[in-house]
Amino acid sequence: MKISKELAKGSTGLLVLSVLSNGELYGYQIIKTVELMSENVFQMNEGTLYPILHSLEKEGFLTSRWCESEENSRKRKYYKITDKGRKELAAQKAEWESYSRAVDKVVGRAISAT
Amino acid sequence: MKKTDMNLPNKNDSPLFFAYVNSVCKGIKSKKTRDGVKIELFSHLLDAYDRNIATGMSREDAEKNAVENMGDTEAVSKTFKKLYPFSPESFAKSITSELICGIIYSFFAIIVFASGLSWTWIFFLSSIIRIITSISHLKKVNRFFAVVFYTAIINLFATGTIWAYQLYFTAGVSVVYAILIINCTLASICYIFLFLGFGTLNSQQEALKKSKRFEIFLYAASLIFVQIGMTVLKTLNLESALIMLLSIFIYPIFILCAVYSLLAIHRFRYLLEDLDILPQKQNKVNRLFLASLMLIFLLSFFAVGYASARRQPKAVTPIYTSNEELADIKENMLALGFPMERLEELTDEEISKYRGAYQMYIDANDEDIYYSALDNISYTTYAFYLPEDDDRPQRIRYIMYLEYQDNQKFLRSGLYFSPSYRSADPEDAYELNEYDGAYYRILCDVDDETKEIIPFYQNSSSLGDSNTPIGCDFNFLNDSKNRRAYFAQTVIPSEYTVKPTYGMVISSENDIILINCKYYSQQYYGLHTLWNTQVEDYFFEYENVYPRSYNHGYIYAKIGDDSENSPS
Repeated sequence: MKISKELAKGSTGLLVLSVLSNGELYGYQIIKTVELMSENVFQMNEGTLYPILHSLEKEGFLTSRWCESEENSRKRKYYKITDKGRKELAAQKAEWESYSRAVDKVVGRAISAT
Repeated sequence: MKKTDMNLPNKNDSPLFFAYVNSVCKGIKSKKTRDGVKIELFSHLLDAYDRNIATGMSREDAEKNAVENMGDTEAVSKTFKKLYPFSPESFAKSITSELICGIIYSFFAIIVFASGLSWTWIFFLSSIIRIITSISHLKKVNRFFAVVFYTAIINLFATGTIWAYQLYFTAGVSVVYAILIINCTLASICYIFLFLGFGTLNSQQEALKKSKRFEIFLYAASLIFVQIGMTVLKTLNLESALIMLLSIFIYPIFILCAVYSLLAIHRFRYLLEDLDILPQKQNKVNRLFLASLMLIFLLSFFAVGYASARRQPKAVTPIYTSNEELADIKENMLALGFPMERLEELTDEEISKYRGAYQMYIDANDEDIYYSALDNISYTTYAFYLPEDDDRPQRIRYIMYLEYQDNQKFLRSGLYFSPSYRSADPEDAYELNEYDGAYYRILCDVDDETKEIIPFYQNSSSLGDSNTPIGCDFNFLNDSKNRRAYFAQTVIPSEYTVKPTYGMVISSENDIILINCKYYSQQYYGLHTLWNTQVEDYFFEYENVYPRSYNHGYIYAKIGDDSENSPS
């Protein structure tokens, strides 16, 4: 099942921060990791990831560095979560959990009522 | 993985990808950011393409699919544009970067201009045009003039290298000092800009990490050490010691300065990167460019030194004086009226300096020749001349002298003041000048290209009070009791001509240019031209030599031309 883009839009930052909290990744890896971890539920437009990454970097939640792949000499920009980013991730997670619980409560009750 | 190069996407790799990244990035104002995003997106597309190929797609399909998966181009482009909008800050950065470029170009241009190198105007004009075209974003024109600019630089490299090879030691000391000052200035600019926030967090941190306090301390300490050291040694009249000290440590100091230069330029790089002048990371081309930039700076320093050194007379070989010659000189001196008792006091070396002594002229009236706001100061004019029947017309005597400095010999033009001169000096002038025991001298610029010998008197030393006799600060020389200025006969090749200036005593084949004793200002002491204490004793009546004018830069007279110049 695929999630609508509108629904996923607001949580992309959280997803990116979460994925990067496990290690340094470049854009393409991030997308593939998100897809893999979500079992292909989250399939974003790949181009939209980069403005988000840059935005997070601009806010200081991520840092980046350029590296070259030894395999094919391709230039890749690796992103890494900063301490500030981890704090933001924790805050966003808490927010998400709260939101998720609330949605569960409402949607769960509605489902049980039907 | 290793550190990357920053090669921009190539259209030939994939026109489709190339069009996509260009389309997405067109709204990003900052070139550095734009290039970075282009590379990042292009890399992503290539990864997607590889993956598609691996799944069995055709090349065309793989390419199309990779682009399609990126989503709405316009939407991404707009997001990026919104993320990196035009801002006054970026505009200010852009202007600042152009200004810095301009300063760098101007720096080179000034050096080149001052040094009189070939390619000067091409270099100068191309740099100016580059600044203008950079600001106006005329990329094609700018690119063209960049080629001209770099061609000129390469040419300058070659010439500069030859210069560096020919550097004089004395100029080298000045260069060391100049490097210290320039580096400190450069480093300070970088720090100020970085502290003001011109730069990313990374570059600021890295630059500051590299600098640390110790390095700043080194900069300051070096300058203070040199300045205090020079002041102390000058106060103690130990300039010779200073020169010796510098000569011992000259090469370590050179190396230290070179390291300083590299550090300063290295730090400067961060600033340039952040101002979009340089790419953020280095590839081979960029490294080469940076290395060239460093080399330019270093060679420029050498060029400054050499340009200054060119103002310095070339060393000449002193003439060996045999006993027979000494006897001849003595005889000649006596014939000229040199007091016997004085002659006996002179050493052979001193006597040898009177080689070629000829009749000298003194303004019989001993009149004031120049009146200025400085009242109560009288001037006396003396001159030296060669008789018409002189059989050695190529020589100039008593005008040029050799100065020995650090075992090097420099041809000078000038006059000698003995410590006892004060007794012969007008009291008021003495009180004003306080040149007790000072050796005055006038430097001479010998230009081997134009074959001109141009004496000059002004303090034209732009590199500070080094031991380099570039120009002559008379205040400085007043304190310089350890300097020795020797008169000596010096052979001037006949192809050289002598250009007169203020305060000079110059004689060429037939022409005689008298000394113009003139106060320029209170700051510069008048070039009194008394030769020795008992000067009257052995100055002779003039013969056919008269002052023609004393209102201009020099007084000129011609031997044998007494019809219109007879003294009144």
